[in-house]
Amino acid sequence: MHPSPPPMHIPDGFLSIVVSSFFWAVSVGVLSIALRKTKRMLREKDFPLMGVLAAAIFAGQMLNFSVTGGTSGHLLGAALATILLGPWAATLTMTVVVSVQALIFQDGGLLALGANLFNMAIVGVAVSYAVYRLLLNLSKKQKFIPLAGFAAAWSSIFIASLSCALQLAFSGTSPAQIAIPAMASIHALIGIGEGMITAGALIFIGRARPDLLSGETAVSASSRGVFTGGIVISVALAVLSPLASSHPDGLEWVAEQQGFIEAARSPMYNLIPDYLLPGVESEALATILAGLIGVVIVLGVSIGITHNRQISRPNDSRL
Amino acid sequence: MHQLGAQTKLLLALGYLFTTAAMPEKAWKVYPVLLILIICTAFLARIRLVSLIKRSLLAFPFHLAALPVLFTLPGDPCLILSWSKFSIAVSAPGVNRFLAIGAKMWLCIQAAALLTATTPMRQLLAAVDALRAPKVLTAAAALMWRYLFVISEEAVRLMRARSSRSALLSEGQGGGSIAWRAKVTGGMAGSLFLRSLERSERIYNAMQSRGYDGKIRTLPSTQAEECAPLTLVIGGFLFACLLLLGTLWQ
Repeated sequence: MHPSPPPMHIPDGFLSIVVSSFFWAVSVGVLSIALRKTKRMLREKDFPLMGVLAAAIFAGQMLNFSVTGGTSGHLLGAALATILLGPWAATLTMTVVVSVQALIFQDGGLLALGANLFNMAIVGVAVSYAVYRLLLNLSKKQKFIPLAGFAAAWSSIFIASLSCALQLAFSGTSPAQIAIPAMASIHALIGIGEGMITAGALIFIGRARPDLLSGETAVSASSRGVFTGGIVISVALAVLSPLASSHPDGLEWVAEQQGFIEAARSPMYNLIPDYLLPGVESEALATILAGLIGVVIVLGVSIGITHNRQISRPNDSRL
Repeated sequence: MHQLGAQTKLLLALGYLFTTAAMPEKAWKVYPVLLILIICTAFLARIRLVSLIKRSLLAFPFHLAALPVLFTLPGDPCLILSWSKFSIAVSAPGVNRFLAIGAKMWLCIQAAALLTATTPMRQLLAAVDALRAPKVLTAAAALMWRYLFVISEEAVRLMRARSSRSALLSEGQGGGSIAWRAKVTGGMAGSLFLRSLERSERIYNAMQSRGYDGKIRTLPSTQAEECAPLTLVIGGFLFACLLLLGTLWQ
């Protein structure tokens, strides 16, 4: 019955009072906008739909597949909900899922619920919506949908984990320069599992009920605001995280004390050394540029891959 | 404890969580008092401590996220770990914060588990409703709770079907590549979604044929009971005292 807790549900005790109340305020604000929007857009029959699909997402988190050595890929479902329901209704659905998980199953804390809602119901949904729309604008072909779904699911997990790491860092629970790379790399892997399941689900739905994925559904009918919001959140978090993690604090102090600072300068970021660009004077500016370049590289790679797939399989009508 | 109004219990639990989260890190003498509160409540509610503790261990993997704090918080090094060329210092404030985070998390989870163990979901939702949460969300949560078990069983059936069709041969590998396995799981997720979608349409039809007009009505017995102001005041006073004690007595 109970799914194994995904590592993104922050328990109580991890966030400082300031951080948790700030994110409660932000989440309540966004949710009230979502409620107003859905009141106008949703039909009467969409309300039972939200409840039942919330249950489906909760149950869908039980589905897993073994990867290797006891680890398994899971579904979190924010991207799938966004693609099928549209961003506002998906935000409300994910809110119900995350809240019930906290209230009944102690999966994530109650004081930390504001932050968890922000990560999973707001950032997760907005980012997957923005990425999905961005990629679908490139091509309207039916077989392109699973690839766009994969990219949307992966980025939603990845960006949400950055937001989670930043919240922990601001609370002083986990130092930024360790939490952010660690959370980011773990969730870059988890995101692959999420993306593959989402793509598989979209392939299945595309075959069984293609009408749900056709252009005129809730996804394309929604406002530009969410799209811009998703892009802004992605870029802001991608920029903010290296900025926070390059800030020299705790670890280097201890390192200097122990005299192993030289040994610690391992060649981890060879491509963009220390997240800074050579030749740019201001440190903050250089970090932001490095972050932006990272975003552009990721976007470029995903667009490139999808473009290639399109060219190489022009006559493949399966999928 | 089981008879206490759901709203009162919810507010008391939130007060407890707030107190625990706001407690200063070094208030080690107050943490046992907080634990005694939990144990007394569990005793009054006749809930077995073992089950409570088992449930509270669930979130401990997350404690790993706080591990780096051991090494990075500046302060007196109290332990130096050496491993061939490398050595790393564990600072005393780091140890303190790491342990405090763990203790807070443990106490908070137990408090939340006590709340759900003593309060049925319907009453809890009615209490959330009475605290002016949006009706759309509580109604969706109630529907979700109603169908969660139905759909979970469907998910379990899907998984059983998958495992009964993918027997592991004694030699060699069972199942295809990771991508294939992911696609199969994706198909399961997709079919779960579609089935739920169709179920929700049937539910809507059934609701309409019973006169659904956009409002969810519940039986009077499941609505929130009277809030007990005296209990709340005593609880709030107790939590305030504990916070004061924690700040002064370090």
